[in-house]
Amino acid sequence: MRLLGYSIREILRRPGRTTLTLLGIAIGVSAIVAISITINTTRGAYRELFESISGRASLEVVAEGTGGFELQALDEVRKIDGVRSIVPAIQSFSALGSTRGYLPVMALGIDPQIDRDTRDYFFREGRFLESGDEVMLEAGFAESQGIHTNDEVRMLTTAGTAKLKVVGLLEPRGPAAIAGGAIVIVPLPTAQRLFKLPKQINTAQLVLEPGFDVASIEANVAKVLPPGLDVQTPSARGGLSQSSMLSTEQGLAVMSVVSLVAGAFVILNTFLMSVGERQRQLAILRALGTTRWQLTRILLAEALLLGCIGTIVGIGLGLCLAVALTRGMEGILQTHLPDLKLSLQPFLLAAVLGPGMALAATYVPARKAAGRSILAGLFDELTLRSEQKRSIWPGCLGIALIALANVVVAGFLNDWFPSEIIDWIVRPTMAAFLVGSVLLIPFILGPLSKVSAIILGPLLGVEGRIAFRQLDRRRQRTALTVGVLFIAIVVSIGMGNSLMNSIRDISDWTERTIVSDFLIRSVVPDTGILMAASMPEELAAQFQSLGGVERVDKVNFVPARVSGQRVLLIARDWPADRPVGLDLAEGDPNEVLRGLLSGEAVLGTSLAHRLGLHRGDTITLETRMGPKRLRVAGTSTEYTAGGASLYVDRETVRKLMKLNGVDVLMIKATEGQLADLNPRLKEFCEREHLLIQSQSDFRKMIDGMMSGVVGFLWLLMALVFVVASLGVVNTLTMNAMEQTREFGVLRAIGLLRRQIGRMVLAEAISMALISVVPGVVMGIALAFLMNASTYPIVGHPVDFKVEAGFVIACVGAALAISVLAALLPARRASKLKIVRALQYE
Amino acid sequence: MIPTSDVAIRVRGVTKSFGSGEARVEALRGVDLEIPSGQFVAVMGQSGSGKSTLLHLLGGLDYPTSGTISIEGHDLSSLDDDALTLLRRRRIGFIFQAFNLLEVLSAEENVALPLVIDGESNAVAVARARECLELVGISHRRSHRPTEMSGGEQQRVAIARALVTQPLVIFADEPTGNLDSQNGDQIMALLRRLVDEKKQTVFMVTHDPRHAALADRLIVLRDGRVANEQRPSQAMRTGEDSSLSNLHENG
Repeated sequence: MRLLGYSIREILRRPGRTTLTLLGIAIGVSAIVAISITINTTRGAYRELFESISGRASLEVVAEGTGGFELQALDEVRKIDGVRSIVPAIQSFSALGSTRGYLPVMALGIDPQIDRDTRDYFFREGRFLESGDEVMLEAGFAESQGIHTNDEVRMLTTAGTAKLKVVGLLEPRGPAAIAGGAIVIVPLPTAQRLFKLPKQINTAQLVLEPGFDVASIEANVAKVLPPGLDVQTPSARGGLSQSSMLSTEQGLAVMSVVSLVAGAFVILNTFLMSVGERQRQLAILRALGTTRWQLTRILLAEALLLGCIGTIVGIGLGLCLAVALTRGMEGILQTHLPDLKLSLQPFLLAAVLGPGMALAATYVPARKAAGRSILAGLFDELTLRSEQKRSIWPGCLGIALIALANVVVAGFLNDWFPSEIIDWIVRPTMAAFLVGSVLLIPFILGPLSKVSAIILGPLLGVEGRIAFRQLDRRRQRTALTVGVLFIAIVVSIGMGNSLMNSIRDISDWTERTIVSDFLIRSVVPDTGILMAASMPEELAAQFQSLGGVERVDKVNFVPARVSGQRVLLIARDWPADRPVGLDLAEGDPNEVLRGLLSGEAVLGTSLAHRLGLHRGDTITLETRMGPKRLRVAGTSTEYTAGGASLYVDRETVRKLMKLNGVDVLMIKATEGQLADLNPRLKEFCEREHLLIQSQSDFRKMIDGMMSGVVGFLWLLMALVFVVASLGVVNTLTMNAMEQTREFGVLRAIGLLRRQIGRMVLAEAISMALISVVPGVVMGIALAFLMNASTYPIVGHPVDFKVEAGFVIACVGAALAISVLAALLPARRASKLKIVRALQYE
Repeated sequence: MIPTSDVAIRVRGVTKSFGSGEARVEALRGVDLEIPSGQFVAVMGQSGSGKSTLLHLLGGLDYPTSGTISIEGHDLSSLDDDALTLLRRRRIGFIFQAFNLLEVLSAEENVALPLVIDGESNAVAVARARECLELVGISHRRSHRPTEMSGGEQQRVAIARALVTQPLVIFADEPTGNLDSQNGDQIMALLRRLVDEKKQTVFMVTHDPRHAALADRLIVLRDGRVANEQRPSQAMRTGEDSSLSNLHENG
């Protein structure tokens, strides 16, 4: 029999424990895989949105802001070596009428004569565009909306509602594949008319000769472009979506690490138990001539085998979880995401981390087993003594890891690290903090155990007293299980509390910023890139003419560049006689309002922090007339585009960067007229196919989006608790197994079945209680640190408040999960046959 | 026939089988016994003769397949698990070959445990435990854990634990099996003393004829049946030592 055969038999001998180990690995791996795939899919969707629409073009020229430019502006570009052709286009977000109201779509205006230089179209039916008010749609999208060739569809544009004839239905490939097929392709002249860009375009795709270096051509193009135009790779426009999703992605990334670390501790514990249980067999192997290294290899081979199987199961679970997370992400971003974008990276990560964590968690027990004396193993010299001999190095390592994590957090708070590497250091920092904390647990286990015994002793009686002794006897095992429970509590309290603080902050921000009674839009915007279909500006006057309207303020979301950073410029009307309506962090409200009206800007706190700017400083905004310097009138709390945004008066923006239509109309009702105005507005919007949201509707929408994020994190926290429960089941099963003979004795001398069951439950409750004390303390500390860590992201301090109810709920969850996990081992222990238990070896 | 009031245990037609079909093993095939109070009974027999099974059934650790076992007039078969447990807790003491002390408890705590389980106050349980430890001569080791004691000491603690509830009968399953001869002799002397001085009923399974000879009555089991019953001293005298030695060697 080969040694691997022995390993497999050992694994199969304990199917229950093997399953628990596999689940520990699988859950950790599944979290990593699911989160990586979800983030890749979301990021990829935005990158591909702009890449697919650009076809074979490697570069594109766009106008600053939302305006257009004339193709002649690129005459100099044509002369640059390597530029084969320039394909003009208009790209704009729009809304297409359907049986279910207006749907957000990307409108693409193309020149039918030359567009195939850069984009390929694959027809399912119909023909290519010729001229006039014609449109091509993606076949699947059209089918879902009940649209056929030769039908007439309505499209909401800045020039009003247009009627277009469907001439072709496309296969979901090339530009037709973007945004789940939500694309409307029209002839360029039609687009110029509908989006009020006469003889203009807003994008020009540059198709390059093969073999030329894209970066050097980009640099050459930039040199000859007139002010107000910018050259970039097509995917660069997705950059803003990364700012919007940064916090959510980081939260998910941290949770994936937590699942992995918790899983690793479960595996470590399992292998320690397994090795302890098999010490006699391992000693026999040694006595028969197995070398220490061979023994280590046997155990590592078992770990590797379990790691590989767990990884395969974890990848399967991860794919299912990724589907759920991606659907959740769609809800948060209010957009359609494509099917899962599978790349090699998550699977490579899983292939390394799954077996890797199994091997890492097994190495110490394997070395320990190989190092044990043969006689000690053969004659069952108690491992307890060696367990009681506490090594100091885990404690030192624990302190070092926690110190390291704190240094990193301090660096994070004090901007010691460039923002690009923050994404990379968040996960290892969290892992270091958790591993360090768990390594310290054995050192506080004794006192905590005593405290728990004092508290629970009177409640649990003699069963409790024996249970405490059993836990104390197996300190290492208890410490690791307590460690996993501790991780679940720390992370739940830390992340949950911090999240709740942030939600309150966002809620306060919404309340202070959205001061109007109603918001009117064409469709709900995609919150990833914050682009929505613009409406005709004339609508503002029509709303104003409805009775009971005090004022209508116009808002445009304009992608812009400030000091080289991609930002969202929020251009908004500011009435001189009204409060500024911003959640100001710096600046007096009246002075800020005066500043805005005189052409100054208010920076989101996050952007201000990133640029290191304060009130009174100046920013450089890229405009159609070249770089313009604007004074910073103040800073305000801002969550739009992840805080990478700034406010400028709409009139100022109109002068600097051409505005096309209006994205949002904010309507304030005349005092006392709100109730009467509501039905009139609704009727008007229904007729014009516009989306109306009252202030409470808008808040509900924000709450809905927040609950999506919260739901994600709750799901992942639940996973961590599931991993923790696996640890508890494992430990209690092993404890119960080791105590089989003791249970037999206890039953023989008069302990009832239910008392035996209660003993096992008492062990579970004790472990939960032991983990709760440090868990709550460290959880609140983590919440404070996480709260502080949001400063570099949001640019302002979020008020820290301990959510007592939530903390109690987490403690309750830990206790509940422990008791639930103990039910099966308790039941098994209470069902033991006395005679068989007494004969148990 | 012993008067009913003096009978501690009455066994009538007890059988016990394990498994089913071809794998069925008849461990006991109709055992009848009456054990009076205050008697020291030794049971011997070859391995597989059913002596341990009999001890388990009499001690209420298992149920017979058929037949009745009465302890103080209670038919064990008619008791449910809880009632049987309470009977074990209050009226029966056990001494095992492997001592079976709880490693996590000290000697005193081990001895006090049955009383604590029964709801006795800690003070009373500890006081009673100390008396019992004193009785078996191990009170100086009362705060030590089993792992810190020799086999003989551990078995003394186990005897003290068996005594602490003042049981009707103590069942001892090869109590000297894990001990050297010196310690074994000391334990047997202790059991004998308990019977003589405290009128304690003891039912002991053993392989050792020298220890069986200390009992008041010897029951020899063969193939699940009572093959022989006599006073051990008589057996030793009548030259049956060789058969007892044979049992010892084959047991």
